[in-house]
Amino acid sequence: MPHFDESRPIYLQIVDWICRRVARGELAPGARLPSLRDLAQELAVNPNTVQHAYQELERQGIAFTKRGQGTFISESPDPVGSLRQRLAEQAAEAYLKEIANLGLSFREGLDLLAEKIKERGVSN
Amino acid sequence: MSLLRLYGKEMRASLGDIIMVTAVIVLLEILAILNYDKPWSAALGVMVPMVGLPLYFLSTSFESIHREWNEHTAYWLLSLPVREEVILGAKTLALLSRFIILTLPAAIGIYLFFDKLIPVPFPPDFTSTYIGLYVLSWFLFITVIPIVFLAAVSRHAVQRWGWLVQALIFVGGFWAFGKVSAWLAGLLDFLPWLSLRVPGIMIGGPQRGITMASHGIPLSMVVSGLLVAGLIFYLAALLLRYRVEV
Amino acid sequence: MTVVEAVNLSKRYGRTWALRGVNLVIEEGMVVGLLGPNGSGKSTFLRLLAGLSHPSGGEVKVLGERPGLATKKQVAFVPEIDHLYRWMRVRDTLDFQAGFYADFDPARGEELLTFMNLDPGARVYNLSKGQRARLKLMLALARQARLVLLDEPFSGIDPPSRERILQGILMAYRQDRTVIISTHLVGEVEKLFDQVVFLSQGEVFLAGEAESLRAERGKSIDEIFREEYR
Repeated sequence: MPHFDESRPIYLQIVDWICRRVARGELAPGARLPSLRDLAQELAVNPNTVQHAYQELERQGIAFTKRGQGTFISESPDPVGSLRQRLAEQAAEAYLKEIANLGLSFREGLDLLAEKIKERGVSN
Repeated sequence: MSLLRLYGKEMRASLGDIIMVTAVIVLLEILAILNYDKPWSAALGVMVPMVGLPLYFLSTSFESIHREWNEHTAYWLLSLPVREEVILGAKTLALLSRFIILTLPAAIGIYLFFDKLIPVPFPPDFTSTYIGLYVLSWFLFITVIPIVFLAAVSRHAVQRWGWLVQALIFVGGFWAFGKVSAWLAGLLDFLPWLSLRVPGIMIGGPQRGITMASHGIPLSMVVSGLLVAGLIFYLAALLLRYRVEV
Repeated sequence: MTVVEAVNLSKRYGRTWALRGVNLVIEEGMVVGLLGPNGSGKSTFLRLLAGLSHPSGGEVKVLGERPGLATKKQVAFVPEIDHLYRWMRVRDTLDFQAGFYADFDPARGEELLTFMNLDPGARVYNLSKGQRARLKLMLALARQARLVLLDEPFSGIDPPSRERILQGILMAYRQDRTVIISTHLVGEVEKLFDQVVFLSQGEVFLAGEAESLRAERGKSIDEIFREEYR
């Protein structure tokens, strides 16, 4: 269950949270999302907010609604790859922003990243 | 039915009160009857209920309205999808029931007390007259309740000077009731009289005991009283609907 | 469909105006937060909608009609004050309510009784403040009312009861049901609201969709609330 930052629209955070779960494989393509009422209850938010989030997921092609059956994660096109890409890009952006905020150059940022990877002893 | 549900609520709310006061009256009457030869017995068995009960009923009638505000239950009562006439009607029925339940032991007690006190037997139609007068007291109470309601409800229809408004409407209500019902009784003069033989007590002398004198009550007075009481009741309901706030 | 429409609505008590020229339209299915400090007119507004008070000026319509007998059938009002008959048992309280409303749902009543964790045999005067708050909410939610008015349902209530009340409100959500919740405690409950209306000294000075306000100002409703009433 996500922790909301109430200074940003809640529905966007629900969208983010679901995207993350899809990218991590916790929600497989074709999986049915909880009903509006159930998710609203679980997250303690207004069901209209959840509906708004589901509409946004549909707009982005990540989910689709079958009338009377609920909302499902899309199967084709499979959103997993593109979501992983998008979330990784967001993480990279955030890292670069933080590096710039600290007054370091991007070169130094890249070196730091390489160093950390080496520390973990990861070869790929 | 809403009226019966509200009536049940009113009766249940005053149940403890009814049991307690009934017990006190029964006790008073038994004490008075057992001690009929003592000088204080009449004060205890006759005067206390005859003065105390009317005062008690007057205060419970006001209380029946004010309690809803004091305990904030007016929020619930006035939220109910029920006509204001039904709300006041249920209260009237409950007050009348309470009146009958409490006055019955007093009326019987006083009758038995006199029976014991006066050595000669009652004249033949004394009992029927006694019952007639007692039933008349119900009608009297029915005409008083709407005036109390109008006064009590007015207190909650104004934002300030509630007590003063209530007192003025209570006194003015009786005055207007007298005026209007007397005028209406004049119009209804063609109605017959209810014959009633009124008892008088002779203390000492050769005719010591109870004597009966022929009297009567004009039916026009009873009918006009009830009609005007109905009108005042309706005014109280209108006030409750359009002016009263919680 | 418009459920509440206030046009230049005013209410005066003596010399003070509890509401001053309020214009507000609330559509069906919305959960609306009526926000403001004590004495800002929230409670007065709800009482006017419930038909327990009468406007000094302007007009208010509920489901297209002036508050009265017809609207009372469709409106559930829960005041902040304890309005229950104290001598009743929990069960009597529910039965009494059931007797007056065609939209009362007995099955829902039983469900809520369990959910709110209340003993049907307990006397109202023996209940704690939190239990009474739960019972009050239950009376409203056991009905299929079109408009639910909750006056300060969270104030002065223990956290577990507050949580139950919050969940109860969410459970009762329906597309054809409008809920107006007045509160001066915004933080924990702001996620409930579709719309918020800020009242100050009887006037509406900010009203809008909660999500739009968050996006526009980059702040939570609670932060906006704290700033505005500083």
